[in-house]
Amino acid sequence: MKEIIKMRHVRTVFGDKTVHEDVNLTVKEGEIYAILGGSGSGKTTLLREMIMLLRPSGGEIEILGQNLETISQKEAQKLRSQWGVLFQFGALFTSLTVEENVAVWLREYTSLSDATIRQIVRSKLKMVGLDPDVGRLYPSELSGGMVKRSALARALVMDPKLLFLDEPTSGLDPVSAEAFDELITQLRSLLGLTIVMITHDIDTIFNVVDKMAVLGEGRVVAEGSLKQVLKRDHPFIRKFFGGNRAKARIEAMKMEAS
Amino acid sequence: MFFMNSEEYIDIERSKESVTIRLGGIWSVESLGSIESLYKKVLPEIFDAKKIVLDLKRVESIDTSAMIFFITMRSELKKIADTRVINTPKEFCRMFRMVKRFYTPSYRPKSATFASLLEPILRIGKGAVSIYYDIVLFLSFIGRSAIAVFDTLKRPSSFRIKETAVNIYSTGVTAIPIVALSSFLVGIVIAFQSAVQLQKYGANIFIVDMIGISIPRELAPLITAIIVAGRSGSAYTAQIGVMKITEEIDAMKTMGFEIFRFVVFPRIAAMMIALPLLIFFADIIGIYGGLLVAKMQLDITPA
Ligand SMILES: Nc1ncnc2c1ncn2[C@@H]1O[C@H](COP(=O)(O)OP(=O)(O)O)[C@@H](O)[C@H]1O
Ligand SMILES: [Mg+2]
Repeated sequence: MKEIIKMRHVRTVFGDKTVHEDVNLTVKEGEIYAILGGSGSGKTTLLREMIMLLRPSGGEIEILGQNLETISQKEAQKLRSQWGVLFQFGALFTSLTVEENVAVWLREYTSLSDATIRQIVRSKLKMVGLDPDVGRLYPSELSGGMVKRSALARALVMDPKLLFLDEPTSGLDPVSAEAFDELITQLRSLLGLTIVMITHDIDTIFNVVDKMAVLGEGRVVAEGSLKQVLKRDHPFIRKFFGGNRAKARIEAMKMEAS
Repeated sequence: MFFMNSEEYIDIERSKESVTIRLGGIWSVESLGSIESLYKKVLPEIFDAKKIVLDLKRVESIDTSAMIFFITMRSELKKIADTRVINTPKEFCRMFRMVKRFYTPSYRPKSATFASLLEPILRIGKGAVSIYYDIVLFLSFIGRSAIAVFDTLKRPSSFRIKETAVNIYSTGVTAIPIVALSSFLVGIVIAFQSAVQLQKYGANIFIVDMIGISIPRELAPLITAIIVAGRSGSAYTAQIGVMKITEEIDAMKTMGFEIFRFVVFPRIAAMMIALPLLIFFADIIGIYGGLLVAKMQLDITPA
């Protein structure tokens, strides 16, 4: 499978604080890839480096075959149209309705007529599980789950190959979180997306994620499938998967296997 | 990005009783703009068709947006005549089945009706009502601020000294450079313009009254007030707006903190203390500016 994201020896330093010492990871086509790690371990920072919001202090990042260090302005612009980003708090434009939020990209970069844009937007809202009439509302009038779904529709409007999600299920109730997980798996199989997400959600990790990288002490302390990661002995992994909920899931997984 | 010959996207061929529409190329959201305009051009030509055949053989790939467009297009063609789709590629079929699941027919945009003619009047009415509510809110703001002031006077120990000091710094001290610059320039300009007129009458010495009276009485307070209102007014709006969004204000309310005492009064008090001092400072700088001109232009020395 093709390698979509390659990070080699990435270093990040803020002032005198080193967030990433030496981060190496590889995301392959069609994977749902999770970045785990304790609070403040630099997950969001790593994501911001992938989407060109932040330059690493050292190392190389290659996305869809482009080296982010040497990329030209024009290529960067093209690259940006090939990925969608769902920010942790949705980051919907507050002065626009949901429908306008989703349509922004289409209005800016295509010459489509209003009727066609409306048609596409309404269908995409339906795709992420929203009633198309929600489109008339402003972000301040939405619930948390609706905000995330609308933001997802906006991230998906240009049919990206690659989708970045920062804590997609945090702040959602368990039912919405599960529905959101299901939606993400569905979209992956429907659209053939590659998905990179930051998550703390045990359920998401067990139900959705194919591969993951665990950040600790500025490095990737474990990378691979859930089984491979569980085999590694690291304080964070022990603590994270040592909670009651995780333990029960691991038991169930073992039962299934045997 | 490369552009293909747009004819490749949609191509029509007429025979006696049917029209064949051949679709081809890469149907993606990027090419959809040209596809749509091409389709609009082609549409009148097939308006009288008895039978339509959609040939999809040459479609290389299609994404969801283009598929949404295709489904709309197909249902439009169906309204014109009997439409048949042939040579559907596998990939196209898969995408079609998937998009079909969430495809939503668009609502018809409302046509111009009597109600839409009344739209401007409606807007004027809404504007008037919102102005009315703004006035009411403003009055209630003044009233509640006054109550906060009286409360503080009754219990002086509840005065928020630290917040007030911070606000004196941000509205007063940091405004010094811009206030200095503008009042200095105004002092120079006033002195310069009056020097020219006064010289004609040989009343050079009256430049002292001209500057000494007009700057402290009128110009310095006016300029300082305008600068502070613009500068600190927008800063307050931004600060309190952020506090509102991050629910800080709500948190204060639920903890029983009277926001007029905690948020509003320290800022008003800071202004009441900082503004006169700033004006005094502007007086000095403005007069100094005038003094320079008087010395250079009219040879009037301070001593
Ligand atoms: N712009 C910044 N300036 C200084 N320090 C930062 C900045 N952004 C993040 N950090 C620091 O980097 C560390 C990692 O932050 P972050 O990536 O947000 O962690 P998380 O894994 O919880 O998402 C934190 O200790 C944070 O204080
Ligand atoms: Mg974070």
